[in-house]
Amino acid sequence: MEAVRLLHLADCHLDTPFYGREKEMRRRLRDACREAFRAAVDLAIERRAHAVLIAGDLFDDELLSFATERLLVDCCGALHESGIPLFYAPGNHDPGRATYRARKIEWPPNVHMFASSNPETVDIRDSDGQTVARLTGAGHMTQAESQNLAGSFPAANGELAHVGLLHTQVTGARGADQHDRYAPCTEGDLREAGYDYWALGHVHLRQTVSEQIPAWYAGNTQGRHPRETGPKGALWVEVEKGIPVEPEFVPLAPVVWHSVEVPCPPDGTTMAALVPALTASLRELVPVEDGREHFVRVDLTGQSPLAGDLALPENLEVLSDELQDGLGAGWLEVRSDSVVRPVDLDAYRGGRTVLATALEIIDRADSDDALIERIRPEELANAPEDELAYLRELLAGLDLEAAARLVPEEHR
Amino acid sequence: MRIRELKVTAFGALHDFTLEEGQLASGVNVVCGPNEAGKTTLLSVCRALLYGFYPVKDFPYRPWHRDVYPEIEAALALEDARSAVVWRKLMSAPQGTVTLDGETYDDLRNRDLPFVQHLGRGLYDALYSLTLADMDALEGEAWQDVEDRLLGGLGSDVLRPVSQVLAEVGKEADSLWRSDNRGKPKCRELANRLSEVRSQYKEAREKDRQVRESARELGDLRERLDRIADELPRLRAEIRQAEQLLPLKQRLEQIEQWRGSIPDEAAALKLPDAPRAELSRTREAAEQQWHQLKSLLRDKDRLENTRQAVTPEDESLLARADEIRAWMRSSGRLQKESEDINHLEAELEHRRGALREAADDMLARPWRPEFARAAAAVAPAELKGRINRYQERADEHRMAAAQPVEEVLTGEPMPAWYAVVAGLTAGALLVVGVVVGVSGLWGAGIVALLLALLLWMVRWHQRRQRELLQERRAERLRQIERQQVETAVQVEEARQAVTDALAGLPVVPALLEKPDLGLLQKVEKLRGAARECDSLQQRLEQMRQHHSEELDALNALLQEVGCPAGLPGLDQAERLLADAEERQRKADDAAERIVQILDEARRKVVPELRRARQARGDVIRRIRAAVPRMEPLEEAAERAAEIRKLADRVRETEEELQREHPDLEDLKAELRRLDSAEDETLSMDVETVERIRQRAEDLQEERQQKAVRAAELEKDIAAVLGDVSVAELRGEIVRIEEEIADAQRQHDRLALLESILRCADAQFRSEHQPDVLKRAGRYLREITQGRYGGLQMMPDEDGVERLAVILGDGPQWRSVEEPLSGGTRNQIYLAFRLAVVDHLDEGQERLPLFLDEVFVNWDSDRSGRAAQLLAAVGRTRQVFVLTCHPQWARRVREATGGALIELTGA
Repeated sequence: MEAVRLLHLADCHLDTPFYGREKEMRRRLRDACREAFRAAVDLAIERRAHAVLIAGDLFDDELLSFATERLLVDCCGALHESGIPLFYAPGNHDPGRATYRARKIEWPPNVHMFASSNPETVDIRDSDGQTVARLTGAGHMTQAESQNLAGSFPAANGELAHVGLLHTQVTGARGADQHDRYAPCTEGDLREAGYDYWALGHVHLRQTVSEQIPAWYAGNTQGRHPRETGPKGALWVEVEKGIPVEPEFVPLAPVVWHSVEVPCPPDGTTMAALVPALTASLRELVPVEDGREHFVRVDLTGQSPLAGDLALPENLEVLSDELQDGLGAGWLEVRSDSVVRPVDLDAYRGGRTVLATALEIIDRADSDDALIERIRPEELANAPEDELAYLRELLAGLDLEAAARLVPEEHR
Repeated sequence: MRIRELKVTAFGALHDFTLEEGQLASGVNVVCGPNEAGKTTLLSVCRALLYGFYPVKDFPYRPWHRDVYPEIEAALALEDARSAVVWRKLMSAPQGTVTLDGETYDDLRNRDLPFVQHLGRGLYDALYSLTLADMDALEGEAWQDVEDRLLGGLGSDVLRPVSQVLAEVGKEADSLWRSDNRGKPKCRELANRLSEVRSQYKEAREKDRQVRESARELGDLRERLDRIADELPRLRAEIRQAEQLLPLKQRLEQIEQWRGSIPDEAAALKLPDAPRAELSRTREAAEQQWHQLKSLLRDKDRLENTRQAVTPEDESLLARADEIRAWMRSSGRLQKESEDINHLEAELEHRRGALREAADDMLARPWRPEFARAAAAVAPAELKGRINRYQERADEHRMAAAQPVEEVLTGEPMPAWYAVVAGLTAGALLVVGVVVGVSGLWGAGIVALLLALLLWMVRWHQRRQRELLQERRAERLRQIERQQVETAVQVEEARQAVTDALAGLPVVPALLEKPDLGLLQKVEKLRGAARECDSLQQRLEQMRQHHSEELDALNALLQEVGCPAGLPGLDQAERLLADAEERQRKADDAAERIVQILDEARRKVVPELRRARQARGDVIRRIRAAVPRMEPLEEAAERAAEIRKLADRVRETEEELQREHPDLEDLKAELRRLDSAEDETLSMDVETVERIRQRAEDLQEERQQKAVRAAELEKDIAAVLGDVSVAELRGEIVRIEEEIADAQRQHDRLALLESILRCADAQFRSEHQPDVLKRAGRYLREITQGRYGGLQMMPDEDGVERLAVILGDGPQWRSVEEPLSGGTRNQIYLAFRLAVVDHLDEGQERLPLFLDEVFVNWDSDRSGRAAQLLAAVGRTRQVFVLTCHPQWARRVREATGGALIELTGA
């Protein structure tokens, strides 16, 4: 029996809120998402996939523009012309109930949408119409699916390979904590079904759920913001009954995000001297010579005599531009929130000074609720639910900030 | 801590300056000297002593002489009664040692002394040296700084005033977010921008909704245009059809009229072109075929007899015909084989005769077959070799016998008479000569005598040689005789070897006496004859065997077909077979002909006959069908000819219509539909056609309108596709929201920092201020002799606590600002300063205090009380009062009981 060739996509997020201060950048990211999807379709056609599987969050429901919808339908049409079916299990961003956008799109006939939270099993056929695998999938009906959908998937049976398709949050998956807990399930739920492959979506970090279960998150096809770093794309899977799968990651995203922390160079005493030192550090951290565009967020850390200069937006803009040119990145942003002027806190602790008292308060406040209550500002711009936790969070780095402000420049 | 001794090797203006023990008081020391005498330098010496040389690079007190380095040394008394000696020197790098209780630490370098580390260098600089300039600066708002510095930071200039930092932090926080409506904090600007973008977002969503509606409308339009595109050609076709259908209809009606005269059109069309002639022709054709069939059947009966003439014996012969023919082809070979056998037998006999002759030629007995094995066993090469060896031995023997004796006795020795004659002649001459006395004669006699001697010697030598030769010859003859004996033995051995080689053959002894190559030839001849006889014998046996087997097989076959054995039987079989084959051939021909006849009859004649009869029947049937119930047949045929003509006309007209209208059937169907349609619009009249034409024009117009609208919609859609998308705007909203959240978070962070600093300031003040204020109040009361009872913090109009001075014992108070006099404020400042210093090193090493001309502008009473105050301070710490006024110096020394140190400046 021939292995069934599948292209596993998830979390394409076509027309999602795109990150970026500039309009051009947001537009570039929108185009990059589209290009990644188009590239996935080309890949499926080129490699003669038996089917394309989309594990939810293909687009963001209310944000899907007419233009992107047309592109989506055109791409599915291209698959249809090549005789490749597309199986689509909606997720929380593109739920499948009739009132949502996913159901209103006029899909080509090759698109099969799992428009129910009850699992449905369909055949995957080759170009001769022979069934080569069975596929069970289910979709989210609302934007906050709380049921465990995987638990109701039927067990695999028969001689053919069996594949599951679902948008779910598997408990314990890496990076799952960054996503809302929708359609949660456990490794046990997936294991019990006994499928030869689980095509999962929801968690944007590409990974296998467990070494013992053939369940994979494909990750999203294009990183959308600096926290979604590294190459993104799809998984090419060749599934055979009872044989462990070895998915091949195929990078599709034209834009690759990087988020790096770079300590301020100690010898960087002028902005001009800072640029070559930072460029050298970035070249080691960010490989940009792979033909893709690289968007880089640089968080400067540590102490620097230039902390004051680095706090000025206009200086940061110039620095960003120079580093971007030096590195050859498509976009580069420098943030200096964590940079403080050089100050030796230990030299001030325990003395008879206000700073020593302030440092002692800051040190104690982390574990002293009463003290935090006492030092709570009269007005807070934010009103978090757990105010104490919020204030503790704000305490981070305040010791350096206090010292930097109280100690005059000439005494540091 | 007190300085007991001080030695300045070099330090700024001071060189080799020493203050011995006893010159320095543990309390107040008044240092008096003119300007530039080194008073302030002394303060720097003390500071360097405690904290090291600062700044090391470009140290301001480095002596002018290049080879001299700043160097100081002091003996100190500590609070706990320990003593210490400090030495510091600034060369290229600072050096220093400290000796504490006799133990020296030499790695002091430029570090603080271990017992002054409770107070930083900066704080010491700021608080422990008070100058006139500090007092002069205490004007206006400067007091606020002083208050911040002394009360907020305990005088530390290491830190910026907290109030200043708080103001900055508060301002920064307010620039980010404010709860009130004042200013333009970042969050508000971002909120405004957010509001704008949200509006744009709504607009974009509305546009997206509109474009979807446009797309739907466009889809509907396209669908409608597609329908129009489908309908228009149909309408046009209908118009064309209508224009075609009317004349068609008339011709079709004519056809129908003709059809009315034809009883059965289908039958009429099946009539022949000339029914009567066809009727006659088909009858004649049927009769002709019938006669032909009869003739064929007669031929078939005749041939059947010939086919049955083949007998069973013929069949048996024919069945073995191939074998018989094969034997017939082999008969010549069999005959030849028989002849070859006879010939071989004769040849064999001839060979045997030759063998016998060869045997008789060399054998002592007649040839017997067993000799053949012995002859075959003889190896000719070996025999030849042995014969050759024999002949070689025989030749050697002969040569040995005929061997010549080389040493031949040649010639005889010279006769003796030669010498005798010569002797006699010599004697004669000598005698004659003597006698005659002729010297020539006796000279000739001597010569003849010498000659006679020579001849005699020659003859002797020749005889000796001859004897030696005779001895050698005798020896040679003996040697030859021995060789002849040896070679005779070898000859006999070689002959025996030849005899052995011919073992088994009774060879004639004479041939073995002197075996030669003739013997070898005889042996070869015998062997060849024997070999040929043997070969012929074997070949003959094989041929006989083969010939016999073949004859057996032939005879078996002949017996089966009833013929005698042998080649004559084969001849008979051949003849019988030829007869049988002839009969068979004729039978086959007959059978084939029968088949042909039957085939011809079945394939040709009978079908022709059947066809002819059918044709006739068919003609009759067609005439009957076309002209029913008419007799006789001839008349019916006449009528059929007329009907046929009408039918032809119908067909030709229809074919013509078919050519003119390839879709004739559709047109007919359309005509039938139109005829049977209830809808009047479908009836084919001029009005209907006009209505259809109008409908087509309407659709054309609608199509144009819809196409224009579709183009507009496409343009609209294309325009919207290039606009900022909903998602992009949503992204900007998210970004602005994040920025707002960041700004709010940053505000909260700064607010928290402000709160912490405020809290720390309050805590610091609460911990340190009461003591400082109490001490400062006491000092002030002493200086002002009770006019001012103390100091305390009082809230001003804004609620901010400010330093206030209490009048007398209170409760009245005044803020420390104008109109309070400058002198009073200076005194408050001094009191404050002393209190802070006391507070700072309380419980620690109390460090020396320097007051540089601070009392210059005070009135006499207050400066006197200040001197007394210094005496009290001097009880707890060493004080250095620096002044250039000798009178004031003496006054202070007297008031304090301290030491007076005079600097000359020389």
